[in-house]
Amino acid sequence: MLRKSLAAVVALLLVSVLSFGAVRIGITQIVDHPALNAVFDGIVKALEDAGFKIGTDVLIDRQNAQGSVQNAAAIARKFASEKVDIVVAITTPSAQACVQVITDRPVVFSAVTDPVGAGLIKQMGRNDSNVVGVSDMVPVSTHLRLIKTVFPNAKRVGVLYNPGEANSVTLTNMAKAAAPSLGLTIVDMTGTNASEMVAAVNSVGPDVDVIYIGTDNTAAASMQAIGAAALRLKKPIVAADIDIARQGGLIGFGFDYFQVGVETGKLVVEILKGKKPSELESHLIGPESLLLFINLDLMKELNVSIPQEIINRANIVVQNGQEVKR
Amino acid sequence: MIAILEQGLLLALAAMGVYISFRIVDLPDLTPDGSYIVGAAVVAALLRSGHGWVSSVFLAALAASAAGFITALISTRFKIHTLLASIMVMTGLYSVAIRIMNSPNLPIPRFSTEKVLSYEQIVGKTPLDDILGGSVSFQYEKEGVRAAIVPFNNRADGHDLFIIAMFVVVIGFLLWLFLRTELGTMLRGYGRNRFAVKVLGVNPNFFALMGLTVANFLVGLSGALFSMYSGFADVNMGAGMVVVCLASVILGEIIFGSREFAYGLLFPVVGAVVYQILLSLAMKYGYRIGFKPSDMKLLTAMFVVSVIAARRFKKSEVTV
Amino acid sequence: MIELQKVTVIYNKGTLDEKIALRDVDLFVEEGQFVVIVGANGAGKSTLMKVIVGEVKPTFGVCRIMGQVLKEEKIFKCGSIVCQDPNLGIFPNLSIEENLMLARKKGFRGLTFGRVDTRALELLRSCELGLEENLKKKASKLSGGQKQALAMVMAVSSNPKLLLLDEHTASLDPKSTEKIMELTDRINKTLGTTILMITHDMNIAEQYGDTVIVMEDGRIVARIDKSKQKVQASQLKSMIKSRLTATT
Repeated sequence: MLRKSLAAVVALLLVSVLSFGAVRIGITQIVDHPALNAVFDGIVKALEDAGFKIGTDVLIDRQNAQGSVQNAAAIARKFASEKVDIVVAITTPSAQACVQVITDRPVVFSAVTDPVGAGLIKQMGRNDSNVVGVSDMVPVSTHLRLIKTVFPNAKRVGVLYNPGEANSVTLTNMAKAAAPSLGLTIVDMTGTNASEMVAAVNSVGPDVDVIYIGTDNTAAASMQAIGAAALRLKKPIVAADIDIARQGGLIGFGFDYFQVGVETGKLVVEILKGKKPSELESHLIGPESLLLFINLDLMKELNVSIPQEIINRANIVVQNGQEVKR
Repeated sequence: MIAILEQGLLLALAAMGVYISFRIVDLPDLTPDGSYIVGAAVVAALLRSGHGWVSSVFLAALAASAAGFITALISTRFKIHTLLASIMVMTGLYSVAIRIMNSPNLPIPRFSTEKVLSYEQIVGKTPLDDILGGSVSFQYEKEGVRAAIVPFNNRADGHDLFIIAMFVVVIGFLLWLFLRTELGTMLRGYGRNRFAVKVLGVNPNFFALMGLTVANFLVGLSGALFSMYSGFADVNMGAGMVVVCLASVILGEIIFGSREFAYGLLFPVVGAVVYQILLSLAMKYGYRIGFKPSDMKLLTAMFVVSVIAARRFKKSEVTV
Repeated sequence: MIELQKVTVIYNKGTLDEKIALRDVDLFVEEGQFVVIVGANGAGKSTLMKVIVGEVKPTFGVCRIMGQVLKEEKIFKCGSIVCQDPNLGIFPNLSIEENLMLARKKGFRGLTFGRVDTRALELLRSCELGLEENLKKKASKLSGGQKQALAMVMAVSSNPKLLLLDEHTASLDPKSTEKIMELTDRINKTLGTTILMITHDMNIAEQYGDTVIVMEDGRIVARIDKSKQKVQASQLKSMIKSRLTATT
């Protein structure tokens, strides 16, 4: 009996001693969806690969704002007032909230489409501030060219997004700038939550030839419903994100978010090793991390023919209900 | 702790506004849910175009007060209950705020930024480049934003607290002074007996207009300061504002009991600060028992209802 | 002062609910008069008051106050009313002092800090109800009689030409009623205010006022000038009773 309680006391002491030197990392994301969760996993992997043990060397406090900007701000304030050493903010609204109230500790952003436009940093590359990170800005004009190639007769492309997300607004504007020279017209399909997005699909969907979804977090979280609605209208969805495409898209051309997480984690590792954020560079994800996803089953169902050379380039396909990685 | 006080005093301004409409003029008004975001939206839009913060805040509060004025106008002109009129106005203000910001949310830039370029412009070729048709002949370029001048430094070092406290003290003092004047006294009287106002040869509707206008001015002021403090204005900021303010007022009334001085203006101020303290305690320790930040609204509503119910059992005089 | 010429008021004219509240009423009240109006319930007394106040527009005929047809509630610029409910005549959440301060004048206020009128204080003191002792007391804490006394003082504080009283002693106990009626009489005698008073109490009608008007079924059935004819409470009671039986 005594031996057991003694052991417990020793264990407790050990843990507290060990965590005494442990670094606390607060990780906040705006909402729960596979891509963002993949980022988190990637960060953890990068930390572990660098030799930092989660739970002893590094303590992670993971928070989820459940889609509310107010909550994101509350989480940021929580981190600010606690002994969090490094803050990792995944997605634009969470990052905006953190940058606002945390000025004395490193803030590492991840999966932010337009960090300059969102007011997180002054410019890409090095900045004299406590903020640094990885941007997942997507190749919008490439997506449009992809759409034009697969659907040569398409004229109207509907962009489904939440106008409250700065990242989506930027991508939509980029699409609108690129579209005319490809002979395409961009149509706004907006919604601020799942039901509004489904309503947008139902009302505007019939008027467009293809639906394009960028890295919109709201859409990502409601993809099941959106995919079902689009399927009913027999409209193909081309997504800039693989995980979005997985849940109802025909084609997805985007980053492997696990890799995005790993890149972010590498920045965190550098900071843990003593570097300051001002010594690191904020950058985009390189094009080698882009993956092409095609749902061949859906292709048959929508009666669309995708050029064989594009299918050959696919990294992930869905065939006969199975996902196959190439 | 300083951050809690800062947020508590920011809320106090809005709570004072709700105190004026619900308690002093006795007109239940839900406009604040909308006028709060009007205040935030206007200040964000003005700051981004380079205006100074003092005039921006004042104009934002003025815009919010117009919302209260409209509610009172609709209520008195068309003989609709204030509550109903305020619901309609508050709903419409949601769209108005989005128009003002041209977006559901607007960040207030702390520093100027450079131009934004597209992915292809920065990176060059993408893997599918060779097999895709068409080429895009455009250069996407978005102008950077100009920094806005904001008085808050968000360092919780007392600097921000001082500014906010000053606002509360000055506004509170002016209100107290106003309620001492003949006009202010009649406003207070109107809250309990509109008929007597009529007998004194004054159209009571005047006080409905004045009461709601002043109340929403305060709410808009609170929204404007809060958005400067948080660094952004979001159209969902105001949701549930009235309930939170009512909770603050009631908390203050419970704390002070029946002692009423300064025309009860301290109730909303103290109540708001206490509310923030309770809120942060709930979030801090609530996590351990499974609380989520989103649960706060339900708890606040339950709190308000239970206090009202408890009062009903005690004395029949108090309404709401 | 008050002039009603052939005033007829019909509610819901043309419908099945049609009710004739006043029939062909002529009434002249001169300045300084103290007129008492009595009648059974439904005789039209309250409708008459509503016409004078401007709340109800005559279906036929015209009502003029000081030579003018006044629109709704404009009468309160030059007149006051005290009703049966003592709580209606005062601001319950304000102190006695603040109540008096507001009643000093009619019409809009400014951002000034008002004072209490000494004359109003005198009047208050003369009621002998102890109101002058603690001016900072909240009006809601006063008794019914005290509230009504305050309401009366407030009503005349701004020197209105006309004072309308709608059964203002009906909810008071006998002692307070006495004090309030004394006050009413004093107001008429010393300030010269024209008073139009509705009452249910025949004893009051006997004791106070210089003219008694009896109403029945929307009509004025008797005008008694007290200087010419003595009036007794029992007399009035029987007048009303007899008419009732006559019409049924």
